[in-house]
This record gives sequence, C-alpha cells and structure tokens, in this order.
Amino acid sequence: MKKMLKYASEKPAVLCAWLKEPGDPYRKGEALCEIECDKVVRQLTAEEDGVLGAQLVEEGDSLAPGADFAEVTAEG
Amino acid sequence: MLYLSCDTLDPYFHLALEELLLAAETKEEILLLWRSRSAVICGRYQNIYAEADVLAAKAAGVDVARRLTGGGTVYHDEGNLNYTILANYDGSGSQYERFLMPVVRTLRQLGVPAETGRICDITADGKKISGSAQKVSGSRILHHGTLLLHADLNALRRIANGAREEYRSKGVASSPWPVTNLCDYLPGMTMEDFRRAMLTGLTAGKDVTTRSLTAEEQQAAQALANTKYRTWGWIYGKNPEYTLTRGDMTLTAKHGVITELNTAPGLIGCRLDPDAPIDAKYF
Repeated sequence: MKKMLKYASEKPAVLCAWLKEPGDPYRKGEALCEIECDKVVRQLTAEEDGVLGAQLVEEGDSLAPGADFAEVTAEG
Repeated sequence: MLYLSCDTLDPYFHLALEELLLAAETKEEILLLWRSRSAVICGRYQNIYAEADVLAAKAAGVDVARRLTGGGTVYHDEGNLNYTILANYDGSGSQYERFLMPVVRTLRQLGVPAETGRICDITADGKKISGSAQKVSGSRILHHGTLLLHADLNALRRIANGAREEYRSKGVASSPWPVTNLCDYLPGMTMEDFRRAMLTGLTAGKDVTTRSLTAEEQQAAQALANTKYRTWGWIYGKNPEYTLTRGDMTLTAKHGVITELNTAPGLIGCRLDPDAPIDAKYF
C-alpha cells in the first residue's frame, strides 16, 4: 500500500541526510533519515516495515511541520 | 551516575568515545569532563569551509574535526573544559534546560552571573561562555558543551570564522555571538580546580561511581577515531553541497569533491583536501 510519510513534529527542521535510498527496504524502527532541529540531531524512524519510494525532500532542505517527506510502500 | 575520567587531549578520541557511549546498552547517566588540544570542531551538517579558516587551522597546527551533534562550530584548546552527559530520553523535544540548568547553578555557586541564552548557550553579562549541542539515538540522548575558562579567544575568533559571505550552502550555519572567558569572573582558578568544581556541581545529589576507561573502551574509541573521526571521508567528505564564489571563480562541491569549476574544469571530480591543497583559492 503506497502512502506518504509526514514529519510529525511541531518545530521545523532541516533534513540533513537520507539513510535509505529509493528502493531500499526497511524494518519497523529503522532510521530513514537524519534531521536537525534546534541544534539537536535525531533520526526519523519507520513505524512499520516497508520500502522507500521517493525522497520528497532533498538533503539540506527545510522540513516544515506536517510536510510529506517520503513516499513509501508499507507492508502493514 | 557514572563519571568516566579520561585525560587524553586527542579531540578525535573524545568524539569517538562519545559515539560509542551513546550506542552503549545502558540506562545509566554518564558524565565526562574533558579537554582537547587546539581544535576547531564543526557541527554534523555544517559546511566546514564556511565556518572555519581550515587552511589557517592547518598552518597553526590546530586539529580540524566534525562532531556527531548538531549546531555550530566551536574552538577548543586546553583553556576550555568540555562536559558530556549521556542520559535516557523520553522523546519530548530538545530538553536543553534539563542539561543546562545544573551547569548554570554550578557556575552561579562559583560567583559567575550565568544565564541560559538563545537555545543552548550559557552567557554571563550577555557574552557567551558556553555553547552546547545534542544528538538523540533511540531512547538515549547525548548533550555536550564547552566551558571557556581561559581559552585563546583571539585564536577562536581567527580560526572558528570562515568566509561565510563567499559561500552558498544548504549546510547548517553557525550563529556567532560575542564570547568571553570564565576567568574574568574566576580570577586565579586553575583548570583542575574548575574541573573539580564542575564535577561536584554536576553530580550533586546523585549516587556517583567514578572510574577510568577500561583498556577495551580505550581501544574501541581509538579504533573508531582512526576509522572515522580522523578521516578525510568524515571531516571533509560529509560536507554538504556548496557553491564558493571568489572573484571570477565559481566552484561547486559536494561531499568534498569538486562538481563544477568554471575557471579550471579539469579539476572537476578532484577531492578538496586541506592536507594536500590544490590551491588555497579553492578553500
């Protein structure tokens, strides 16, 4: 099932690095990308198993609250 | 709380040790108080050339490093005391107050008019005496910060200052602020006395175990320092994409490699290495 992943935080961030490329499978809990917000680096992790489709935000670009950042095929 | 003492002045070793401790399977709070020899250290996602005069650092024998936490570029020397705290993280935001307030209280007890400022700074009379940054990994958080006791502020201003106006980058930019040393408020206090005071303050009310690194921990940190933190691939190869405009020259580089260069297209594909600079104008 195709779906969009949303950035769920209330604070804007910078998407610093993708840790998965389009076509890569991932498991629940795996990190998909690293973001930086308020000088804190953290990872956005998968809530269910899936395969990464499109990266909707480029490295270095801003991530707004509620923005779609990836298109995935979820196995849930 | 575990206080881990480690006396090496190798900044790369300490950065590696922090990463290993963050990944360790423990729920214990861990404290490090450490110094390094002269080093300019950028945040994880910074364009190091925009933030630091890298060639000047190299010429002065100042180490150049990249850390795993966010935020801006800092300058360390033996007059600066770093503190690192690793703790459990409940997922609720950056939690800077949680880690900064014990430092502020300790400094106030010493007579420093310390206050938190901006997101993660500590100031005295409006000047910055400490900056900090964090990384979250699963249910653990690493918070670390500088404490300028008697650092060489002239070197700090000269080296931790790149030609930002010449660069366009998607990297995270530093937010420079006027700095001052704590020795202005703590005349005559030695670094050892300061370290002891910070240790007392940051462990107050806690059940503390103190030990040195085991041989195994030292070897693991040294190995990670050698395979990651000292390497071109980490320090310069993790640079975000940027464009440098200098006179007629426009250079674009990504991950440390030239991707466009109007004045010398034959250098496209070349690695930018400050240890073997093609030409200073490209840095």
